[in-house]
Amino acid sequence: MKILIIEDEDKLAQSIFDYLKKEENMTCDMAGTYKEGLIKIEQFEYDCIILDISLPDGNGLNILNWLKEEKINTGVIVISAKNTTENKIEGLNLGADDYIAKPFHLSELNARVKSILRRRNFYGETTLTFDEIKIIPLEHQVFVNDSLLNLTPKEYNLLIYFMSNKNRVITKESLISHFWENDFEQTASYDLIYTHIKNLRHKIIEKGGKDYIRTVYGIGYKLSSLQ
Amino acid sequence: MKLQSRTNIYNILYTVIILTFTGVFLQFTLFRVYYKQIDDGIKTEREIIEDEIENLDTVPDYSIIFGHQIEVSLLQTPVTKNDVYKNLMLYNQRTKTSDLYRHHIFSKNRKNGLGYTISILKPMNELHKFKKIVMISISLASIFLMLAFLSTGYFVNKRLWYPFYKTLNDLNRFNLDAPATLSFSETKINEFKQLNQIISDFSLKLKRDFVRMKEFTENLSHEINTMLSIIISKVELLLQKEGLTADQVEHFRTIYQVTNSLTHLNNGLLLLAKIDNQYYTSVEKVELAIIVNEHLLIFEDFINQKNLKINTHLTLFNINMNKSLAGILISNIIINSIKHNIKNGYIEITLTNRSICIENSGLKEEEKKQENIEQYNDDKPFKSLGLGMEIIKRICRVYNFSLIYSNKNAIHTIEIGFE
Repeated sequence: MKILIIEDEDKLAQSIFDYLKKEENMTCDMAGTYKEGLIKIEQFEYDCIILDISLPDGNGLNILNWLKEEKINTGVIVISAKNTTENKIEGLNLGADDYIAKPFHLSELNARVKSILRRRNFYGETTLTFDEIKIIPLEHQVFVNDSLLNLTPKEYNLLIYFMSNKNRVITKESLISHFWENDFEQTASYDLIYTHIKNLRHKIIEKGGKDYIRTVYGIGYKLSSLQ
Repeated sequence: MKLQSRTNIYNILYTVIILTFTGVFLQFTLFRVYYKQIDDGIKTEREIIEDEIENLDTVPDYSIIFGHQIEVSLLQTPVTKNDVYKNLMLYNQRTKTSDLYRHHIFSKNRKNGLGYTISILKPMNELHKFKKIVMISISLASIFLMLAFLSTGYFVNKRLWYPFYKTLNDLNRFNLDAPATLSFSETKINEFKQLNQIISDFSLKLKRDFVRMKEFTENLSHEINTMLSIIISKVELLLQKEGLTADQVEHFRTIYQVTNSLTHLNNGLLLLAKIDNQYYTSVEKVELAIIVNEHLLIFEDFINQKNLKINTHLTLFNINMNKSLAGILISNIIINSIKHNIKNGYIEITLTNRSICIENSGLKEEEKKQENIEQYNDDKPFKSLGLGMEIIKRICRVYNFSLIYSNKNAIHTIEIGFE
């Protein structure tokens, strides 16, 4: 999987690069300007482009236009500091697959990239597997040891998020903003996340799965098979 | 008060004052002329009598000759010269009215050294008539003048002030956010030309500044959000490292949490700025009941967490407002009612086409702290409450909604009136 990061703020681009490069089957490229981005898109084939729309030498939305005109079939996720609905709608109308507002959590971005790749079926497979856990995203079904798991939408969502960020520490804050955009009472939100994760773990163990989701003290959670 | 009404009041006031003075002056002058005429008549009569009685020993009845009361007495002694005119009110037994007379007393010595006196009493019936005529003519003049003022006022208002009202109307519809600039229709009157020009220039400058300010706010938020992104991403990368000590984790966690709070704060302040900058100007028909239900679903987890009982009485109706702002408003009042609720409490939402009222159970100890919204903000009893309430307040201000907050017996109520 080849990912292109078009972002003029090199420190942020570097962070995204560092996070994504550790993913299996993923290679990343960076472009700091509009021009550089266009050149790279012409030269290489990318499966997904992470596109900042405010670039010093041009509007990132023009790249979306250009991709459309050239009929280049690439997943695009727009990142923007202008957190407005109009902005979001404009990006999505121009053919972006997703929109994420700055500041975002790297785990969230990673999950969105994975989701785009999955939706476009770049993996060539219709299931996500992790040891004895099997997910069929199209049908929203989860199997543990081939028996169907009965999950609530939030638990399912949580599992997908964890699967997208395997072996990564996922902060509680990123989980909270994944579910609720609004700034709610922090302790209440922590408790809710804790409850959902507890239920998810319980359901997996009940079907004979291992307890993959570990608590990382003070920070959050981690899904890993390595024990 | 309307310009025309005010003009009319002044016109009428001036008319009354001027005509009163005119009336007084006119009466005074007319009376002078009338007295002069009467006195001249009396004087002529007296001179005729004087000539006649110089050589007479007996006096004829002049009253009969001249038609009014005249008394002439020839004296056997000399007199001092006397020549007086004065007004006299006499009671008429027959008509039982007091009538005004001109009384002339004249004394002089004849050539033979003996004196005589002449007393002439002439009625001044016409004086009342004059008074009447003056009153009537002044009143008629007043009425005509007022009618004239009213009709010219109407005309002036319609025609002369038309450009002014046109400008006023254009200004009323002026929208800082709209791309169109102010353009006024042509007028031949210099003052209005000048006014339009000044307003035009002013609005252009205002528009330029407004755009600049909006750009500045947006750029600033863009910068801050980008910086926050960098901090958050760097800390997230650090947290992925193996072998962090508990101490390090604690420091990172603090940085991370503060940065997240800063993010919410920045977004909140940006939202306030955008509301104030009239960023959300597009208006559409919004179904508030649907938005309420949507948000109850979004916050379902938090509602269940506190085991809150939700009662809704929602009327379906359209309200004209910005959809984003409607969502932000409803979201904030619902969050507010959940945040400050107690376990096993309740939330009651009543939506009619006149108002939305959210009532929720709460803690009793908060009670004495606030009676109204303003104090509520000043006290800041809860973290981040100030911002949420401020957002509610500003949105209400945009649409001129009334906002009442009350807290009695641990029951919190927010009522927003749409009219």
